[in-house]
Amino acid sequence: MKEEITNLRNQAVFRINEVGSVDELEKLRIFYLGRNGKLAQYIKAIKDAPKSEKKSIGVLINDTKNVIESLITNKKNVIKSTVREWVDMTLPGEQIDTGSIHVVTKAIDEISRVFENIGFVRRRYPEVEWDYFAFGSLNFDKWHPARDEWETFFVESMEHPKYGPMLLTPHTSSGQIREMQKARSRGDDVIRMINISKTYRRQSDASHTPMFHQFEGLVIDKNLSIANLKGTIDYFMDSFFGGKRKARLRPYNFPFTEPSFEIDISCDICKGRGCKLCKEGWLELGGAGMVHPNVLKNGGFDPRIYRGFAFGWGVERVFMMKENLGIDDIRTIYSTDLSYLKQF
Amino acid sequence: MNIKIADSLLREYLDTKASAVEIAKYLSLCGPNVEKIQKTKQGYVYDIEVTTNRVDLMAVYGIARELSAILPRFGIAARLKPIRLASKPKTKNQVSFEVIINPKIINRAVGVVLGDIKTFETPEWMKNRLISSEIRILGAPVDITNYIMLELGQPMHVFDYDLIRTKKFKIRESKKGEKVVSLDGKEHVLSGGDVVIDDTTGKIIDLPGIIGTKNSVVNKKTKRVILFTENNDPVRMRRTSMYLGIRTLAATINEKGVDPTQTTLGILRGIKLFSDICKAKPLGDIVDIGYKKPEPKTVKVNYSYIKEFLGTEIEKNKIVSYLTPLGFKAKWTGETLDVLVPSFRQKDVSIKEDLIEEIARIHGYQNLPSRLMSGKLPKARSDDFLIFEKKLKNMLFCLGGSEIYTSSLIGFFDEHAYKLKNPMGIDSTYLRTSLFPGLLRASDENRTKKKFHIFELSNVYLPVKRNLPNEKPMLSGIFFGYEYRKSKGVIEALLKMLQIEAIYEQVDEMPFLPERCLLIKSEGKRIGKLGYVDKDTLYYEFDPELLKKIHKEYPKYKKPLKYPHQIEDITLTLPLRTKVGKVIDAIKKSSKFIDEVDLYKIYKDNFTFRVWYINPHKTMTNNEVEKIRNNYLKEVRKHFGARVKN
Repeated sequence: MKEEITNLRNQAVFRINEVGSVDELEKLRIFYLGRNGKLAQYIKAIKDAPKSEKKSIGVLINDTKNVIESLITNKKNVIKSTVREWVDMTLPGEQIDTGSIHVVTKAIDEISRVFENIGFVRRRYPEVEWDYFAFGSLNFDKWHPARDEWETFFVESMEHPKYGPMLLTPHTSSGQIREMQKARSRGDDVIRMINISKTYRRQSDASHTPMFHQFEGLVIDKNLSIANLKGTIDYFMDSFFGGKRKARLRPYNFPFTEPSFEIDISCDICKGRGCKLCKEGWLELGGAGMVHPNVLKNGGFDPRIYRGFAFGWGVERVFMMKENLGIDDIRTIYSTDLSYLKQF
Repeated sequence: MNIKIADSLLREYLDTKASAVEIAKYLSLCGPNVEKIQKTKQGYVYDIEVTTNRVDLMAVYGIARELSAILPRFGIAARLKPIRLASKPKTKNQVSFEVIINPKIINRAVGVVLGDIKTFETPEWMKNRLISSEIRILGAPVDITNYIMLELGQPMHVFDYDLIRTKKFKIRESKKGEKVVSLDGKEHVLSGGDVVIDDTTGKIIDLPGIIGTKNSVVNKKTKRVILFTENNDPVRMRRTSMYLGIRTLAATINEKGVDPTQTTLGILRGIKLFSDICKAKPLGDIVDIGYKKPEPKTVKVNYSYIKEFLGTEIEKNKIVSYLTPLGFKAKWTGETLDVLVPSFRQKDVSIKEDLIEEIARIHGYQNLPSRLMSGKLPKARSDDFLIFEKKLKNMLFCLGGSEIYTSSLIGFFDEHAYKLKNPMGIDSTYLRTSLFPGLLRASDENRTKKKFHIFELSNVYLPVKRNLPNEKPMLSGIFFGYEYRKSKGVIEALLKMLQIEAIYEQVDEMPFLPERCLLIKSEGKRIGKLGYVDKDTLYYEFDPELLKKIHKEYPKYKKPLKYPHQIEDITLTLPLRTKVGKVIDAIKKSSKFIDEVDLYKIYKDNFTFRVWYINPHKTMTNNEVEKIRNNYLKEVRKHFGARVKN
């Protein structure tokens, strides 16, 4: 009989554990502990047991009853509490404001990172400049069209006795002479700088805004060659565009470089078929060239000993050429509409 | 500047089997850029961008010459064909005219009288080519002059000989206010200093190099013409053309400085075309005034210099073969290359780097090696501020701000601001001295969004006497539709992230509503301010350079406290118009054992504060806390009338 009772207990433990509702649990309670339940039957049977075992059977039945009772109570609590603490996990979270960083900032960060990897230092030179730094020292002749008021913004002010009129710099190249002077003043004869600043030109259309950003690279050292300029540009292209796009160098003309180049990149918007932003599938990224000996001289570097190369490209323009970005009008970039800004 | 050229016209001067697509591709790589190639009824048309230093390429002949050097590099034969010219006329009956020049304003003037014009009908082939170049058809005499300009890059003009009574051309400077009527019937008032042709009676009969005038233009009744061309001062050409807004192809070419040796070429080509098309013939000798032959120009360059500069080696004879078809006469003497520069390149080829450019581009930039420079790094470091700026932007981004860029050029806002001489519009005339107007405008544009936080970190331009402005970075932002405590919480969080301890002072200041401005100070300096500019718009600004100075990148390490804080919440009932900030300050100041006091909850006039007690040397007992509490409760009751709730 002892064995039967032990089996009964094991069976009860198993069945209680498997139960999923309070109703079923109540049925089990009646089955085991009810007035005519299994345990009651064993209690009735004690009187037929051998005398020597009566006591120990009684103890066993009592133990079993306690175990089953406590298991049922526990299980009931578990089932009930599960029901009481019903949780809707599909509720939306409390709104936390999320910000956005402007695409121009993102582009500037990315460009800086690429060039800092190859030893360039980051600079920001004046946007409001003297003619001397923007044009005069850069070998522009006195009557160069860029110097007239149809192309460049001039500021109403006295002319500087040495540096001429005050203007909004139309290119970051105006930082070239300033960086050379700075290098000289700290006794350095090597330059690797990237100047990223706001620049201004009197034009506005799908590929021009009056205010835009340029980044200017300037490298000066002994024994530099066009191959080094190409190497630097290729490094940038690979890092910035992920090696998927084609680039080409074309002859061009700038007063402050000789030879001068224009760098084109294959257009991502039309995939090379030609569109309103590009020319026969190529988009002009910007200019580059070997620093003109006169400019080196103006910056305090002897052109018989030093050579340099420089490039100045539009930040927005370069960024717009990113794959799948799909912005085809530069004016969109300077929209202050939050539904645009929040996309970035 | 751009020029459009019909493929058929190009092939008049270039003998090659290259296709139009090949021509466009290879010309772009080694010479001027073909921006577009269009297929039209008249055949292919190239749209070519010519750089300002290469006015010789604003003509079919110049482009053909470039191609004769470039195409062979891609394995395609190409030969430059000669220009078909008339020989110099020798006539018995001299019908002529007199030219008087001012050598300061004009370098050379050439002309000839032609007569017996039998037809005014321009042949189809010429019409098609002119149309391809977007030049209007105006009858054979004018069309011929335009055609020569396309071929040779020499702007030409024809006058009706019989409309010029004096038979005299006086080329002089205009006076301010003089008027002319151009051949398209428009009246122009001259600004003075323009180059004009006067028939010596004071009547202006031409704006040479820019546009003809109505009073001397040829018509169907014209019997005799003067075919005329000149070599001008490019600066005056650009000034007149830009001032009057007459951007003709002739003006575009003349403002770049044309080769003075080619002036007569235009006349000789003209006599040939007039004779072929109009059956006309010269009635007198060519008049040629003012010509000074340019000095021959040579440039030398050393072989090793070329090699170093390019980063690769090109054989000596190859170098000569690149330069010859471009019109240079190049010869090696030992290691030195002597190059005689042709007259049409004298303006842009002067130094050895110019020659290297010619060699490199014909060799092909795509054929040069590509390698990063070796050598030492500069001693300099990146500007510190730029790194800090990025950090600030990222913090505000993390706190829910949206960065915007507004224009540095704004409308009137500050009478001291720098003003542009030549703005593009009234709302972009001044250099901003504050980010406020731009941000406010951006905020207004977004009002339908109910709630937002925008910020900008950019330069403002503060006036400096007799000098460039101080380009000062500023950090400004706007909270729109935010509860006050939410927006101030963002500002406090920003300062906390920067480890800046700030104190706040409520004041009256423009442009804020009365009593709605809070100054933010730290280490005795005013670092920023915030306040309401209207009931929904909270504006703030900081001086980021000061933030950089005061913030702590690496604060001094503090050991963690050994004993725990005692924390308790206490609810005070405050009288109306009590400044809670001051109550908190008073509680904090009351004991050195109070570490922090936060405002935890507000319900009507009941403010629940959470007070953090600490003693660095021991765990505080309830008795000790009670003493401190009683002390500050006494203080706030005395100063603010604050009473403990319950």
